[in-house]
Order: sequence, then C-alpha cells, then structure tokens
Amino acid sequence: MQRYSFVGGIHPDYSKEKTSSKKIEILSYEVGEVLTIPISQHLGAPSKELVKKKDIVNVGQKIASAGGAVSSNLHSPFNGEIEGISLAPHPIMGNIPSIKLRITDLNNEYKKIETKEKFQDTVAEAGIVGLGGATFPTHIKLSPPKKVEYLIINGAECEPFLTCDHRLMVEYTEEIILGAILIKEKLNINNLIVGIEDNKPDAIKSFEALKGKYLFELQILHTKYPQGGEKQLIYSTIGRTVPEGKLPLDVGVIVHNVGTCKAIYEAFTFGKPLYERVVTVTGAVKEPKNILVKIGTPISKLIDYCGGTVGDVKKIIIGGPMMGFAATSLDTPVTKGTSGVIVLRDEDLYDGKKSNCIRCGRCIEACPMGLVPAIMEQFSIQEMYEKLIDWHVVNCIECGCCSYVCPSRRPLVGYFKTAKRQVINILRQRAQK
Amino acid sequence: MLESVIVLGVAGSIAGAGLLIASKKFSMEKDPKVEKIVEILPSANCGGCGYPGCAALAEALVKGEALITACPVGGNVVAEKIANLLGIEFSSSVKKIAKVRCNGTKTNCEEKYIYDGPGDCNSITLLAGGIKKCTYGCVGGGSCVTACKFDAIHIGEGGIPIVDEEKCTACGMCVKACPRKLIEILPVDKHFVVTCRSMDKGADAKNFCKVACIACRLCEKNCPSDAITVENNLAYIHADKCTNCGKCEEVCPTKAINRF
Amino acid sequence: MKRFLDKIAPHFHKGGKYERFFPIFEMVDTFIYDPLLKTTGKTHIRDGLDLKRTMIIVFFAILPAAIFGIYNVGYQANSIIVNSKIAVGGFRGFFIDLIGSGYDPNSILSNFIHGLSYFLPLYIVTLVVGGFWEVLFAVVRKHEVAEAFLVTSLLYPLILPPTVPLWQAAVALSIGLVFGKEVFGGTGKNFINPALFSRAILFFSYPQAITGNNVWVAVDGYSKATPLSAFSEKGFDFGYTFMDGLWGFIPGSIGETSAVLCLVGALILVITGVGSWRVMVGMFLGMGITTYIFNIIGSDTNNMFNIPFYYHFVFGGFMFGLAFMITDPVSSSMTNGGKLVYGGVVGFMNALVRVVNPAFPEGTMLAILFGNIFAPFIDSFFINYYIKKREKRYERV
Repeated sequence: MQRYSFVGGIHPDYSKEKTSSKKIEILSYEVGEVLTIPISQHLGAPSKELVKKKDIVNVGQKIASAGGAVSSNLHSPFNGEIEGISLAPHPIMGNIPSIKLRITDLNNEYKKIETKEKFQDTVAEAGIVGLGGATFPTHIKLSPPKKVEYLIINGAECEPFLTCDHRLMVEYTEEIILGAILIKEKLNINNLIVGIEDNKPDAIKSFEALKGKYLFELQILHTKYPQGGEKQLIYSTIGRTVPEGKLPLDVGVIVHNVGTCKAIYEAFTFGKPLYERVVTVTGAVKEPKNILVKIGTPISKLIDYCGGTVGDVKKIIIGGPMMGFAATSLDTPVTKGTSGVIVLRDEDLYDGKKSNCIRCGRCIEACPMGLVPAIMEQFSIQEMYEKLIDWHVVNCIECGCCSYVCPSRRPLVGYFKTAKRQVINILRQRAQK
Repeated sequence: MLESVIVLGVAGSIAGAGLLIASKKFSMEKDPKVEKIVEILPSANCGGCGYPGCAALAEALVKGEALITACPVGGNVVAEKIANLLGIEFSSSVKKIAKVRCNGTKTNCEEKYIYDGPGDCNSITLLAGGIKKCTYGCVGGGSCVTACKFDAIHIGEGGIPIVDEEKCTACGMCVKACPRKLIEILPVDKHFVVTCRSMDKGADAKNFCKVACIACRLCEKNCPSDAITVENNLAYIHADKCTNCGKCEEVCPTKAINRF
Repeated sequence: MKRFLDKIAPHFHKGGKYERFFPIFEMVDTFIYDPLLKTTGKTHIRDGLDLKRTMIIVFFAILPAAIFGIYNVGYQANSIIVNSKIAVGGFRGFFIDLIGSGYDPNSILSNFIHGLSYFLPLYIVTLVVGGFWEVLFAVVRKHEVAEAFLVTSLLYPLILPPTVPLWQAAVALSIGLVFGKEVFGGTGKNFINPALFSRAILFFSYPQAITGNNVWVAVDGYSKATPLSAFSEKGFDFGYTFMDGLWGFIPGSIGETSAVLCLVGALILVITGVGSWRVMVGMFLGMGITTYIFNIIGSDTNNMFNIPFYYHFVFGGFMFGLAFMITDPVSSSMTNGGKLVYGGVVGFMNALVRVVNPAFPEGTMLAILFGNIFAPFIDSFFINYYIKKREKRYERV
C-alpha cells in the first residue's frame, strides 16, 4: 500500500517498545485517597465549580460546568466528599484552583449523563475534550458552520514514548470505529479515514479486520514526527494544505483523536461522562505500563504503581517528550490532556550547552511547516515581533523538530512559543484598529 | 603618468559636480526650531516618549502634537527650555522613577524548577506560570535590564531588579518590557510602595512567598490619609494621597510594604 | 553510528587514545561556565548530533586525508633528497637525525616523520594562535569558548604548502580569525570561512610563501610545480596521470593532494549527516559542467581549456574544498535549494578561476570565498520564493 508523508519532520528514537505490547491496566484506588481536579483542563475559559466544601458527590456527577462558549464540564470520578477548593499545581498553567475530592467508596457505577436532543450537546454534557493533548472542547469541533467532506481519525501517535493511543487502537478498535461512524452519520460526512503510522502493525491489523464490517478507509502513514500533527495528517492523508491562521474545517476536514472517538461512543451509547483516560507511564520506572487512570490522580501514584523510579531522576514529563511539559511537582494531577508520564534520568537528558547558531540549516530541513527557524530565532531574540509576522511565525505548530535537530542546542521552539503569543497580540490589536 | 592624473582629475570633478547638483536639488527645507529642539533634547533616542527618536519628537513638538513634558528623560530642565523656545507656559513637575513592586527574592519566594530555555521574561512566564512559586512575581529574566537604555536597572543579588535612582529617567521602557506589569513609574519623593502584586488569597500568597501581601487590610485601616486601598487581595498606595508617614510599613505583618 | 561515537568519546578523556586533545576539551568544558542548569523547557529529547559530536566526526573525516598528506610531504621531499643529496637544515634536520629515521622515500616511517616535522609545527602554531584569539574574545565578550576553532585550526595547516614560514602562517591566521570571524561576533556569526580567509590573506600578503614553484616540495631551493600550474605551462606533457591525482602522490598543499581520501572524508560527513550532500553535489555538478563546456570551446593559447574535465576533480584543492570547506555550515547557504545553488556557484567559479585566469591555477579557495559572500543572497532568494509559493498554495484553497 502506498504510504504518504509530508515534507520535513524528524525520526527521533521512539522508545515505544517498552509499553507498546502491554495491555491497559486499571489503576486501583483506596477509600480515603484524595484526588485533585483542576477546574481548567481544556483550552478556553475555566469551568465553574458546582460543589462546595463537604458536599457529597457520586460517580459521574457534574462537579463543574462549562464557564463559557469554549469550555467544558467536569465530572466526579468517584463517590466521595469534597474537601475544598484550593490552588494546586497544574501541568501547564502553574497554580490553578482545584477541587479536592476524598474517596468514600469504590463503587464504579456511574450516574448517566442527561442525553440531549442534539448530538453535540450530549458530547458537551459528557465533558469531552480532544484527548490527543490539545484538549480543545470537542463539541465545538463537532459543530461545523459548513459542510465537512472528510473525517480523519488520528491514530498516528507520533510522539516518542507514548503508546496510550496505540493500545486503545488494539484493544478498543470497535469502539473507536463506532464512535467515528457516529460522528460521520450525525454530521453527514461522506468520507471516513483512519490514519495510522506504520510502526503499529498490530493496530493496523485490528482495523483491517473490521474493514468488512464497517465502511471506512485505512491510511497507513510513514513513521515520522510530527505525522500526528493535524496539518501534517491532513496533508498525508488527503493532500490538502491548511492555510495560515485557518482551521482544518476551512479545507473541509475535521480531525479527531482515537481516544476522543472512544469517549464519544461511550457517552452516546452508555451515557458515560469523561472522567478517566489511558496514560502511558514509561521511562526510568521499574515496569513501564499503560494505565487507565481517573482524572485527578497525582502522578506520584502512577509512578508508584509502576514500581517506582530507577536511578537518579532529573525530570518528569507530562505528555510526550517533544511537546509535553516538565512537571514541577509530583502532586501534579492527571488531567484530560495527560497522555503520558515520562520519567527521565540524568543520562536520558541531552547534554551540551547552548552555543551560537552555526547556520547549518538542519532546522530548515526539519521544519514540517516549511519555515526558517534559524532566522526567525534571531528576530525573536531581538523581539522584532512585527517582522516575524512576515516570516509566518503563526504557522509554527510548536512541534519542536527545530529544537530537536539543533546541534547548537538552541531552544528554538521556546522562542517561537513566546513570539507566537506576541505576534497574535499584535495581529489582534491591528484587527481592532 | 600625466594621462592618469588628467583622467582621474576629470572623473573626480564630474562626480563632485554631480554631488553638488544633487545636494542643491534634493535639499529639504527644515524648520530651524526643530533643529534647536533636537539640540536641547538629550539625544538618547530611547523612545520613551513614544516617538522614534529625538528628532521625531522635536518635529512633533513643533507641530504641537506632543506635550512639552513628553520627554521623560530630560525632565523639568528640558521641558522648561522647550517651553521657552516655543513660547508656551510651563509648570514644573516632580521627578519620577521606576519602582519594582516585587520583593520575591530567591530566599523569599522559592523557585519551582530549574529553568533552561530562552532567557527573556516573556518565555519564562509561559512555562508553568514562571519559575517562582508565586505566579505574579518577578521571574528575574532581566527583560527590563535589556530594555533600559540608561543602564539604570540591574538584577540584584536576590534575582530581583534594582533601579538606580540617579540614572533612572522614568522613560517607561522597563514598564513595557515586564510581562507581569511589576514596574510602575512613581514620584521619587513618595517613599512607600507595596512590593507585591500577588492576587492570590492570603493563605496561598503567604504559602508561596514570605513577603507577599496577604490583604489583611491593616495598612488600609491604619493609614491616616486614606491613601491605601485593598482590591483583588492586594493593597495599593495611591501616591497622590500618600504623606510619607510610614505607618503602613510599621503595621504590615509580612513586610510587603517597603521604603524606597 | 550513535553507539560508535559514544564509544569514541571516552578516548578524548584521560587515559584514552587521544589524551593529547583532552586539555582542549576539558578547558572548553569548565572554562567560565559552571553547568548548574537542569533543563525544564520544551522538547525534552534532542538529536544525538550536537556540536561536539559534529566536530569529532569532522576530525575523523579529515584524519585519512591528513595522515596521507603528512606522509606525502615526507615522500615528496625524500624522493628529491635521495637523488640530489640536499641537506635538511634547521630544527627539522636536527630532530630527524635525532630520531634517526633518515630520508628514505621507500620507508613509510621515514616519510611520515619527515612530513610530520613540517606539519606538526604548523599545527601547533595554528592551535596556539587560534586558541589565543578565541579565548581572548571569549574573556572580553564574556561568552564561552566555542570549540569550533579546533576545526578551523585543523583545516588551516592542511591547506597550506609545507614550507610556509611559521610566523607568516601565524600572522595570516590572526588577521583571518579576527577580521574574518571574531569581529562579527565569533562562531556562527561569520559569513566567510575563517580558514580560507586566512589562506587568502597569506596568498595576497606573502605570495612568495604560497605561490610559485618553490614552495610545494619541502626541500630548500628545489622547485617543482603543482600539476595544475604545470599543465597551464606545458599542456599535456605536464608529467602526471589521472591516477596520480586520484591517489595523491603529487606536490601540493599538505592535506589536499589525495582526492580519493578526501572523497572518503566527504562520504563520512554525508553518511553521518554532518556535511550536506546538497552542497557537494552542487559543487561537483557546477565544476563538471563548466569545465566540460570549456573542453568543448577549446583554446590554442590557454592550455587549461583543454584539460579534460574529470582531471579537475582530482588535482588541486577541489576535492578537499568539496569535502571540508564548502560543507562548513556557517558560511554556506541554509535553505535546501540554496545549498544546491551555492555549491553550483562555487563549482562554476572554481572552474572559471582555474581555467580562464592562468595566474591562479588553484581556484578553489577564491571560488569558495566568492560563494560565501553570495550564500546569504542565495538564501534570501530561495526564502522569498518559498513564501511566494506558499501564498499561491493558499490562494488555491
């Protein structure tokens, strides 16, 4: 079968073999444990808490409601008592008000969500966000203002180390397809494409086995980072380019992660809200595992469950090693966007210190968006953000390929992250004028 | 030998004549006032006035588009001279300097992680709410130091910028550079400043930083001239009402009010 | 490859095979900089190819050509000495007598030691001068010592004739490093290759040290032309064959005589991803096509028009320049298309200088410097082209 790919990208050491063949395990909890549920687990406005101190909540009960148009609901993962709402570390945003929930009983039967008339409202009610890591509220993505031609299911999982989507694709193949078909029928989309990288042969096999049963197209992709980036995936599957500052919708495509499809299927058929997800725990832990974890579990519990750390741990990453963030505290809870917990020792980290750019052009070769990181970095350092607009910095998807290949160890993508915010501010000011 | 001298001489005089004609033909008439004002202005070209350089400000002044006090660097002396030149009345104002409203030094406010990335404050603040436990405080990246054209601001021993009162011209470039809006231009003779911008609740703020404002309202109650208000869990001293009595510094339980 | 390099790296530390280089690496490691930081940024894993590893690879890529070059210097000198019995004076003669390796062109050891007696002083002088300027600028400008000067210091002696006076080499290198690199802000900020720039300084300041027929063989008062200048004078009776050039038993600058070993170095660089294959292909094509056209045109007065185009690849500094000089990332183009064009421009200029201008039969140096100056221009052209192409693509959507 023909394999498509985009220009640029990198081939990092994937290190997936540690967990790729391990079945998803269910993390066990005890009565009395405290979960910390941050009220902002998605892109957009933080949710509004519906509970107060000493409230008793049940599994699946809504404990926070969407705080705006782009926001999402939160549901309790356990029967328990609210201990209060206070600041707690968040993987990305520093300190965020969080609901503390003490588990009082381990009953697993969840309260079904109200099924609404509209499909999108049901998804919103279940608090589903994009589970690939970007955590964009799904119901907004599912309310396109115009006709969608393609629905692409993202099973690329190009981030090194992570295997949570991979295991989902092997173990919950049918649920994923059913979820995808649900979206396809509700939105009246003609084509359904599942894109999987060719380093997951077992996932490809399980999807191929279902080919006769359901109507979908399987697209095998080259193993390359960032194949799972939305824009790259669209190019690799149907050959369309998403213009700068536009959404995939503008080229008639929506992309969903496999985990999201599964969550949509469960919400729609069983009325199950989103309060748990699969997390890959790997790196320098005794037994790397894929674990089904309730939202709000501190990452220290996950690491303990995997037998603790090995060696001199220097860094713990939440998410993938390319785009994830380093945890600042072991109490950081698992959120809806946490796809992995990676423990790195000193020897796993790159050495070498930052030196001058030697203009080797490796970043230009690696950039999947066709940008010129070497020159853009200079403008970023000089804070010439106006100029960066002409260099299309807004196009940067922050994949980190440039930082990865840089022999001078320059934090290129860090600069662009800052620059992008500034440039977007400038553009907004211009638009206002 | 002679030929080359002649050839070069002729070529030189032709080029010289060309330049002469060009300079006459393309010369622009300049307002003599503009040039005089440029001479008065400090010619630091800092941009503190909001115009691209001193020459641009001078033009704006002559056109009447800018205020005579527009140059923050020159202060009263320059403003007075410009006023005389343009025939405008002028009343003097008090010298202002930049004051840093954070005292979260490394000992007062612990760092959460060891940072290695782009060194500017904008980038540091993006990562998990900054390097310090407090998400409102100074991260010590030194963007204000780079922004300062007068060498008046430096990162002190505690990792917090310190303003050199003598050198500071209140041009306001550091204010623009700080992503956390910690620096404010304040009159030099009002000595007391709340050195905290944390809007966290008292207990959290105290937890993150030893010298945080916990919004206990003691200063507000004790201020004899009603110059202090507490909003969003944060006290603020209004310079226009402050009488420099120093009562607030005495009563503050966390030493979040300091004398500058 | 990664594993291989990991295995090599310890050799640079104490007790390893290349302990000689250890102080340099050590100095760079602990000079000024105290590695307190542990990373907490974005992108937590990095490619194994960092600057230090890049330089180690370049070092090993140059090694075959350098070792052969040293041997060849001795061989060329010894084969003359054996026949003419010219005495080797100065400190070189003293040391060679001390070791007792003699002047036998058939003995590999003797050739090698004789060659080393020329290369080593040159290399040490280069290293000291290069290191001095780098450290001086590092201290004054308060940045770290950049290891890149090690590569420059290795390349520079290899592109010089063996007999160049040491003080002249040092003066030229000083000017080259300071005005070709440090004034622009040090490593990475220069727009021309500092090693070549230094050679150009030497070339124009002390022409007698680096041109003519007296300098290429390390024997006093003996004159022998390089193959290219010989061809330019005599035409096809210049006394060398294609295979001579390929293997490299010819007079010339120390490192650049053996085309095949330079090619080996080029291959190492391409396989490890350190050198860009695009510039190499570009230069190869540029040179080949241009000289082929000159072949077709032909000329009665200028012999160089008639030299077969494939001879150009093996004689002179072409292969060395192709492998180690234009692949210098700092002074070459950055964009993918730009790299190809940049190589092509250098190849074209190389052919032009060699063939059309009989005063400079060795055109590689000038051609690369010329290309360096045009590299940013080529980049800018390509970037604008890409941006336009992208905008067109958006319009289609």
